[in-house]
Amino acid sequence: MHELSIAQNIIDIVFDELHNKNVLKSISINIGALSGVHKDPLIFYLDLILKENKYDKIELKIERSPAKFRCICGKEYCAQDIIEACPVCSEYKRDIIEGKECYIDNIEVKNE
Amino acid sequence: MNKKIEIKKKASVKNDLIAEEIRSLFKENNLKVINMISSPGSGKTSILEVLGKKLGKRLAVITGDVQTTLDAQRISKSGAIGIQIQTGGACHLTAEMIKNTLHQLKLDKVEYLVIENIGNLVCPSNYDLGEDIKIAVLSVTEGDEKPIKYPSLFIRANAVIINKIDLAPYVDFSFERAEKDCKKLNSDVNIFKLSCKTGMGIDSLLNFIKRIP
Repeated sequence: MHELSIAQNIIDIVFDELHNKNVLKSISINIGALSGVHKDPLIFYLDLILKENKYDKIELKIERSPAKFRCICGKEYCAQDIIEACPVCSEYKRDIIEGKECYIDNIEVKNE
Repeated sequence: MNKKIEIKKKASVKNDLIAEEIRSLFKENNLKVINMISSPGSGKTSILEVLGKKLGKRLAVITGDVQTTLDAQRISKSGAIGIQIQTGGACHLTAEMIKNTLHQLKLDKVEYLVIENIGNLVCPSNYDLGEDIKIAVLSVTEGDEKPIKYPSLFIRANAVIINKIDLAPYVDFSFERAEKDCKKLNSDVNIFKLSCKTGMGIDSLLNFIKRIP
């Protein structure tokens, strides 16, 4: 359910970046595997908010990035399953380098 | 022709800005701040009542629920300061909600602030509330698989409290499994086994809280 407030935040940020003469065409969003954000409700709420604001046919490009860890042995590795141990030393002592965030990568606009 | 505009901003950027603002305020007042997260009924308020009896007005609790002021009343009765946020339906607290309650507190008069989040293992884990640490609470009656089933909280929690250990003989809860999974998700996590009924583990938790940098 928190996807609603995340969608609202995303739209607020996008509208801040839009200038008067620009027509919004697409929004690219990256969802980290450890972000706790689910793609489907996020798209549902983004569509809803965009339509409420009279924005139609905006393409939503959603990418999911895997979790990336750095093990204490120095190995950096990606994992889809969060409890995958280090492929080199089988350790779990690691730092999370990527995957915790949900962020807006870019928007596409048309100049009018 | 379409033009691409790079944004590269976290969806949580607005919440994070407010969280940083209140974090500075907490630091200025030497407050140790904990964001406590669990499923409903794991015993967060009971733990805070026990801490309230030990710390009195040195402890303030901002407690979130969908409805009622029952938890704030319980906290106040224990001797600590209890402030209620009623979200009316929202599944998590935000930094803005915390900021808006701070006028009810004399920040320089309290030493510890616990934000008791809405009972939910998913949504609250993503929101920075300006805290120093996150504590996850898990009770034995919920089952030992919770950490691995709800990793987004447990990878972020600095400490995990396994609560209601007095009930462990009556349920199939493997401490070994729960602790092992918590360590897999976050190798630095501190784990406390607690019973509010018997008082077991409370002193270790209290010592940990006192040592928050």
